[in-house]
This record gives sequence, structure tokens and C-alpha cells, in this order.
Amino acid sequence: MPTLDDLIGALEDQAADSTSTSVRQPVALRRALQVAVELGLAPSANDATNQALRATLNAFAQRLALDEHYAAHPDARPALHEVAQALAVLDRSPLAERADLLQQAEAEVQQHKPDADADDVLLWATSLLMHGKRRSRGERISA
Amino acid sequence: MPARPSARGAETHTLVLDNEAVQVLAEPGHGKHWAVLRFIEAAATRNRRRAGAVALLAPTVVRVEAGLDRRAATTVSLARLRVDDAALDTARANRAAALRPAGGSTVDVCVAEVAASVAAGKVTVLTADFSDIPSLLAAALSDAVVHRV
Repeated sequence: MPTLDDLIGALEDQAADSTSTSVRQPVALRRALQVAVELGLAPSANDATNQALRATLNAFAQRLALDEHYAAHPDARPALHEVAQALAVLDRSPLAERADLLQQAEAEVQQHKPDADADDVLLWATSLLMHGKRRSRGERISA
Repeated sequence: MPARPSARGAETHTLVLDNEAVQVLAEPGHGKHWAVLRFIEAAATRNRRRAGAVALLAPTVVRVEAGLDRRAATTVSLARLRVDDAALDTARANRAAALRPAGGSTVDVCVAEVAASVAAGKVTVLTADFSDIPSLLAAALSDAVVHRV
């Protein structure tokens, strides 16, 4: 059974060797890729495909690595509102300074979406923030 | 050709880790471990929704200063968390050298150069140094934001 370390090892391998491969692609997706290259969105179909594949594999590895870390160190897992606050910092959102709203959002959003992630919490908190601003301006808020 | 609409959801972010950030990330027992780990979790959250949305960078000189091998046998090695190396080539070393008069250590200057060289998207530097890094970023004409850990 392959492990995360096997995946990491392959992703870290700096060897410049390449190989041709036969991948069945939907014709429409292939056409979209060609159009994207012609629009200058990617240097070549080959580069775009490899970049997308690498990004996807990196995301898989990152998720698995964190899950293994939390399994070994359960206390290290941050709360959703703490992750949402980090996302707010990255987004330059004023919610980065509103831990109170993010905690409220975490509590509320999970009642409606038990598998909510930090982006869901951030979106909910953004709504709370906007409603609070409109109320303070005396505007009506329709349901 | 009509102008392409801006795709809000396609915005990219880059998180640059400085010396203390990589050190506390490597130590699960460190009091600030969670403060850095939540940013890695934030990156993973976004990357699960859209692969490549958030890139993580550690300048190689930071790793040397912190004494970290990216392949370290821990659950939070930089390789496992997909924190990429950012090395200075000749042109970038020249730009970093030009920043030296703005102050800070060699590592600080390299962190600022790496942050300033990110081609697109929003850049955030995770650092414990709230004095030298901001002034270095200003000297590099970078709009990267500094967040204290």
C-alpha cells in the first residue's frame, strides 16, 4: 500500500526526465485547453496540464499531511473560526480583527451545514458583518 | 477582443514564512504552533476548493537559518505541508543586495525579496519581526502584508 511519503517523494523528485503518456481526455475539454492557450492564459497545453495536475496532487498531499499531523497531535487542530481568521488575513478582510463574529459564524453555520469549512464560516461572518453595518445605518433588511 | 471579466474566485495568494514561522511550525509543542498551523490549514482549505489557490513559500536561507531539512521525518515537514523553497538566483540576489541599506538581517532582506518577487496575487509574510520586514517591503515597493506570529 503506498503511503503519503511515497506521494511526497514523487512530488519532490527534481529529475527532469519526462515521458509521453496516453490519457483519454474529453474532446470538449481538449478544445477548451487549446482555446485557453490561444488566449494566452497558459504557455502551452502541456504546461497547463502539468501545472494543474501538480497543483491537484499538492492539494491532496497537503490535506493528507495535515490529517496525519492531527491524528498524531489532536490538540494541534485549529478551530474553524481560527482558520477562518487566517483566511481573512489572506483576503485582507476586516473580519481578521473580528474574532467575535467568526466564532458566532462558526456556531451558526454548523447548524445548517455540519461539514462546513473555514471558507463557509468566513462567508457567514461576512454576512453578519454586512447586516450589522446596515442595521447601524438604519436600513431595512428584507428576509 | 472584449476585456475578460475579473474572476474573483481565481485570485491567488502566497504566504511567505520567515525564520520563526518555520521554526514554530516544525515544533508541535511550541506555544505558537497553532498560530502558524492555522495558516497552513487555511491554505489547504482553499487548495481543496481550488488547487493552487494558495502557495506556501519558505526562502532557502530561512531554512538554513532555522536549521531545517525540508525532508525532516516529522508530520509537519515542509515537504509534507507542500511549502516550496524560494531560492535566490543572480538577479534576485542583486535585488536583495540593493535592499541591504534599508536595514534588517540578511535573512530579513531575503524574505522581503522573495515576497516582493511574487508575480501576482496577494502576498502575506508570516513573521515575528515587525520592525525590519515592513520597512524592507516598503523599500522593495511591495504591497505584501505582514502578519505577526
